[in-house]
Amino acid sequence: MSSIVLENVEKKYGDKSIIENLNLTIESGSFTVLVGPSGCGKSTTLRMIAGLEENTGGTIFIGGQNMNKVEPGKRNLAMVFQNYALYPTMTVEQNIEYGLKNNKVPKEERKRLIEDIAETVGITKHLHKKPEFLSGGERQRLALARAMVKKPAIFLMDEPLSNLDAKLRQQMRTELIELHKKLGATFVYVTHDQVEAMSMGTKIVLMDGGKVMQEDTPRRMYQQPDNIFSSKFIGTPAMNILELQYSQNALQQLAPKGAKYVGFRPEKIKFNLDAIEPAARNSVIAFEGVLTAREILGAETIYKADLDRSQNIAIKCFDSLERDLSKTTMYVEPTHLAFFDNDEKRIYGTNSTSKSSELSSERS
Amino acid sequence: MKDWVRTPKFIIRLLLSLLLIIVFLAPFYWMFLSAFKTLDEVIAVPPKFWVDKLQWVNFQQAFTRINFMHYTKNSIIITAGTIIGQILVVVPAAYAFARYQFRGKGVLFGLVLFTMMIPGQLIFLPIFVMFAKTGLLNTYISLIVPFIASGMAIFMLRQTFMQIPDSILEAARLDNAGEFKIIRTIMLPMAIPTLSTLALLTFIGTWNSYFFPLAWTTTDAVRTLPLGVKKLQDAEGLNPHIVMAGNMMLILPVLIIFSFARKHIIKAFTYSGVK
Repeated sequence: MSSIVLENVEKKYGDKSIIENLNLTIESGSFTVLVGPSGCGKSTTLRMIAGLEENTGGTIFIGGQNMNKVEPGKRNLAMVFQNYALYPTMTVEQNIEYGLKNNKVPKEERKRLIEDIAETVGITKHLHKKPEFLSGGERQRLALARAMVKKPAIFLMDEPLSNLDAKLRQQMRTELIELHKKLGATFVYVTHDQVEAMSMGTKIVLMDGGKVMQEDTPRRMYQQPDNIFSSKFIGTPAMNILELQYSQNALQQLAPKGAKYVGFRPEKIKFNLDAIEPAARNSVIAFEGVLTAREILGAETIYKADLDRSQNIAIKCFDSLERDLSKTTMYVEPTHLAFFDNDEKRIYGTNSTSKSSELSSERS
Repeated sequence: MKDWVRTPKFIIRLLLSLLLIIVFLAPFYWMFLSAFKTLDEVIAVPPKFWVDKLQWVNFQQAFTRINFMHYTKNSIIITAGTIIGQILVVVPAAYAFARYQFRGKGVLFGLVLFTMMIPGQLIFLPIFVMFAKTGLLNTYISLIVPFIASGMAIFMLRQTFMQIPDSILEAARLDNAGEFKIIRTIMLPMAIPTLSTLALLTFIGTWNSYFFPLAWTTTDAVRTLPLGVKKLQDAEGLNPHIVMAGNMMLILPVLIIFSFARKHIIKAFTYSGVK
């Protein structure tokens, strides 16, 4: 009903092409996060959905209807901006009321809606203040209230939490997830922060250079990156990527035809064989390396290690041992390896972690 | 009382400030004083720095000696006309320069800025000839129209419009507001500090203007209060107390408005940098 479909959408500024041939389906009721480095086109995509930027090619459908010529105010969506974009000359109440007034909602109903929404986001006692007298968190809530009061089918959010301090951001993140569950509306959320994407989204759309690199659930995005860009963008530290030609024979023998790179997540590396299931011990891949740095993060510790031929990897482990920064041996099970071809694309189906088997387990 | 109050540095600064205040206020005080003196008190040697009895009759004299109401009426019409005309011209011009892209925008805006560099004394004659040829001499129009397109006002308002973040206007578009509604309900309210400052500056400038009303009129029909007071001075040169009473009445509106709006004017000029 409120699904968003982008069909061959493109955006050009003069001769400069920002987005080429973008095809994307955002399901109704999903919490879809557009994530990527700055300049990847995620904000432009969001703004084209909102109608604030015209798509220079292709078609945008909302709920099955062609939106190319529809004014932003008539698309049944609301947007929360990074800087909140509150109307500074209006009180909190007038800020919330503005959209309702323009949509010709009768006065009594406006009043009731404003009271309800102010209650929901907890700004009732500030209704008669100007936005400049609100704290960062209250402004954020007002921006949400202004969007919610119109009861739109779609919420667009452009990095709405990036101006808040870390603690408040954490709190708002949880509140947004709850809000999405409660409203059942479609949320499209833009961020450059992969942690936000992972923690909030029911679906992640990873973009780079105006293209969709991967479109998946957070879990699959993490476990089964489609390409090296995904593998490096999602997860801290990033997935370790080694060039096969500089790696040991055991790895090269495992590699499927056409593979150029091999990757594995930092937490899949073990420092001793005992940590690996007995059945897998025979086939385990061993790395020789020198630990060069140690970061203690509380629950986990992150090590950096130099391997042969100037390749290096990160290791995440969850024990409380403080290992010496010296030469050591590390082990990875073959099932945790991901191979990529010359174009940095994933080669699936080489071992037990084929895409289809993972997908079926996800659904069950 | 805090310690720093008694430091020598503080005392010196206090004395210097007082000196400055006296330098600036003395002429006003003298005018105020003279306006309430009798002729004998005005010409008394040594000069008197106070008055024993306020001579309100001076004001009555000044009021009747020239047709005070006539000049005041002219001043009010011309000042109000200039302010209103200026807003009507400046707001759309500044909005267009700030928000639209069109061919020749840079050149046109350059021309607007260029007008700020032309001294009025340079163009008063051509304009006079123009009005003379079109039969507009000695009309209100001749004293209003040349001043409503102010380059400085267009420039200041354009800056204000440009500083309004795009996202606020986009939020309004998403709230289903059309362009004129956005201008009326979002942009103009946000520009009110600048607009009222411009109105105040225009008021002070027009109310006090002496040169142009003198140069562009040949009869008393549309002459303004400063010219009236000048006439009073010519007629009553031997009675400075009456001239000073006329002067008092001339500057009183400016003084009152300025004392109320002082903070506001300063705010409008400093507003831009904050946030």
